[in-house]
Amino acid sequence: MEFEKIYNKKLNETLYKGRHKSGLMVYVLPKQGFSKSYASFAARVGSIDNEFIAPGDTEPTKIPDGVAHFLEHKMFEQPDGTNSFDSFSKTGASANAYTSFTTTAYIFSSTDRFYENLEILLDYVEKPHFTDENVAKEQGIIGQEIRMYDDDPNWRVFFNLLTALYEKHPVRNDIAGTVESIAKIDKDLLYKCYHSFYNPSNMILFTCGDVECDKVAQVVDKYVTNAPLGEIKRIFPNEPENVNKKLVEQKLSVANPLFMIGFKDNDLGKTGSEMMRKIIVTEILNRMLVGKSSKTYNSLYEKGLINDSFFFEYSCEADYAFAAMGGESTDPNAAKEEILEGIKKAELLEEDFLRCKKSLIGRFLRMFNSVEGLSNVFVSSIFQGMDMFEYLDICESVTLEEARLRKEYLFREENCAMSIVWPN
Amino acid sequence: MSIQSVEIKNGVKLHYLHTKKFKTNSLGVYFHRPMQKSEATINALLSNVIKRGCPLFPRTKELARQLEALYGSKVVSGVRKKGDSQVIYINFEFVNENYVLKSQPVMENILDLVKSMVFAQEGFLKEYVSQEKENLKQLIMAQMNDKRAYAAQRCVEIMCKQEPYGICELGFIDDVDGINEGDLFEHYKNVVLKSPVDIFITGDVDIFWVEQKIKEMLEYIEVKSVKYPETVIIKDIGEIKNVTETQNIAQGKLSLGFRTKTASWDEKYPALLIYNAVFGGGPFSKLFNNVREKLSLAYYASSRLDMFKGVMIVNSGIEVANFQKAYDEIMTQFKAMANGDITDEEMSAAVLSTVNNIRSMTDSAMVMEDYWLGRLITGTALDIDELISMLKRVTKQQVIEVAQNVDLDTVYFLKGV
Repeated sequence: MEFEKIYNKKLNETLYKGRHKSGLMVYVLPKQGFSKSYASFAARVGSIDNEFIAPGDTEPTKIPDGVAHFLEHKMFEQPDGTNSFDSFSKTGASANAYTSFTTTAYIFSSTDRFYENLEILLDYVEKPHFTDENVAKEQGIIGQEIRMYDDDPNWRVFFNLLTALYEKHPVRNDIAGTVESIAKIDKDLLYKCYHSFYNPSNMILFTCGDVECDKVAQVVDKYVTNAPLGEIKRIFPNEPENVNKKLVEQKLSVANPLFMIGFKDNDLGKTGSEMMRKIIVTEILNRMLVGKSSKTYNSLYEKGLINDSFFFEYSCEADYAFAAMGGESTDPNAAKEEILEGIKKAELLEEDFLRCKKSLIGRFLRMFNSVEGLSNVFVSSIFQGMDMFEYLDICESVTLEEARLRKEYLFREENCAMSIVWPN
Repeated sequence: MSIQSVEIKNGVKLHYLHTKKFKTNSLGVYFHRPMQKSEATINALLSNVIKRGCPLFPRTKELARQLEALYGSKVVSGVRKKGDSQVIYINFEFVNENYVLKSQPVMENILDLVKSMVFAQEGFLKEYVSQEKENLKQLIMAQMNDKRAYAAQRCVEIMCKQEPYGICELGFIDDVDGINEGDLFEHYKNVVLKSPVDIFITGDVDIFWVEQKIKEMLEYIEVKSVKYPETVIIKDIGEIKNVTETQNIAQGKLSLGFRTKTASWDEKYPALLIYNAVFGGGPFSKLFNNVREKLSLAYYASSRLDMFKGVMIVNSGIEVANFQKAYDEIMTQFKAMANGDITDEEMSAAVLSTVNNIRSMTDSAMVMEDYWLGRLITGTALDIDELISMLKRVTKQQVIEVAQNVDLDTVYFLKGV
């Protein structure tokens, strides 16, 4: 296979990109001096993909919540009764997998024998083996994983916020599903999802570290033999623009109340550079409004309404997006009021805009310090059609005016919902 | 990544971990104090107050603006437990100037901040101290929010009740109110600034220039004691402690505390690392394969070592009703280790994985600083390559000898109502 070489002078980084005959997109990002090399074999399927028309089908398939995550667990099981961890234990690699709203990724990092590990990775993800027994066993393990998250207040406050923001969109469901929903999963369902989504044309292979294109290509040729399938049609319900509920509350065993405020972003459908621009503008704006140098942050902090746990973020996909912020608070309702008031009154000044932009540039550069972190960001951005090498240029070009417009559009009280976890 | 160390003055050492692989540099300052009830709280408070302001930027907001302008430089401060000692740290992470406009000297501005925030405070604002006192109380209480970490921490507290290691590094809620800004400044000036200190720089800088700047910065600092606080490894264990506590939670958390009686400066230390790996250090381990995969009792069941104290904690999240089953299975695997029931595959997987994990550490500036800090404190200047070659030579017999010396000390169970 042929690779295209893309060099970025500002970053002093090179990315190689190639399309395999199977439809698989293969990426190589060489990093000098690092001990670890990393590979991510990722399928574009996550917890939100619970209704779809598989290639070749005419009728939609609806599946219970938690299938993508269940499938991730079960991929490790091998036809000969072993577990792919057993294979990695012979090379010393550290292997794992994760499922997000939109992505399932099988990953390893290793300091030795990279191509051997890459063979193990591609081999096991290409070989599903589901039985009634191994599905039943996993229901016990994932059941405990769900119970663990039930006790995790940071997880709960976040997912409760999503149920407040969204009425229909499946982003409101827990990634692992529920004990009830995973009870409905059987091996046929897993095979159906596997064959629909784990096709090379719906996957990418991202490698990073002490890695060479030719050698990666050889391994891909050997293990990825499927032909590309047609398009998967993903079906999402029509989500209303309004928030589902203004407030969701829960009691848990915590010391202080935790809260999150979310702003539902209905400016959707963007991909690629346009999406990246929207993300960058919103991230700068977040810093200007509630970042550590903002008037609002300092006022809240000095009144004891927030503490060091306060954070903010912006999540953006093609068909859902939201800005969120929160942390511990002795009085979440007072904190919310003051945040909304502070945002409304905030004057957006050029000086603050430029400084927050610099801060964002620093965060972007810092990302290149970790082969794993870097690879995971690249994987999700590739699925969103974004080119991370454009980041610094787009960052340079965004203007204060865009931030002002964005503020008026996104940070409105009508778009806002809140989640609180109270001590029980 | 090799280490170059130089003594700036009595009790103050500068260490340079040179690498070009990162796009940022890191500067960390570490003060060493013995862990004791009388000052754990004030040390924790100090680490939070010094990042609120300094003579150069007296207001938090102004300091935050400066950090943002320096391309989002990050300052993280806090306290860490290292065996029976408490380390007060503050770490600055900032972009390497090669990646941004050269017109703005980032490193020089950061050094000015280090001087002002860490070594040249002139007093603390009353309002900041009282805000941070409230925050510290919240932080101490909020430890219960993370049930997995909380159960492990309670296990250590119960197990080491009579030792400094059993003290929570964040201190005690009841001791917070009694501290005022005067006490805090007095403690900073006369205790902390007179304690042994290590300064780490990781990345790619002009180290001769930095060394000069640091020498100037520390001109008036005089360290009284140059010795690191010592840690005692307990070898006599009385009766096994059994404690069950209740919270309103869904999943039970089982934590078992073991004493390995092996210190990081012992010859047997590499064998101890392999022992822990075979027992519960990864997906190839006995705990993962039996408690999780075979019996389907848990999502996580693992063991971890504290190299400073020779303590090993097993953690698992289980249904409350499965307590006995999970406990029995963990102890069955524990006994299997001592009986020498270790396969060649388990040995080789443990060695490969431990070597991989240790080599991976060199890819993080924070992790490497912490590694060398640990080596300095324990007086074992072993670099990564030396440790790896020792790990590769560990035999099954050595692991069994370590295993036979490990004892269960404490069984802690956090269960729902």
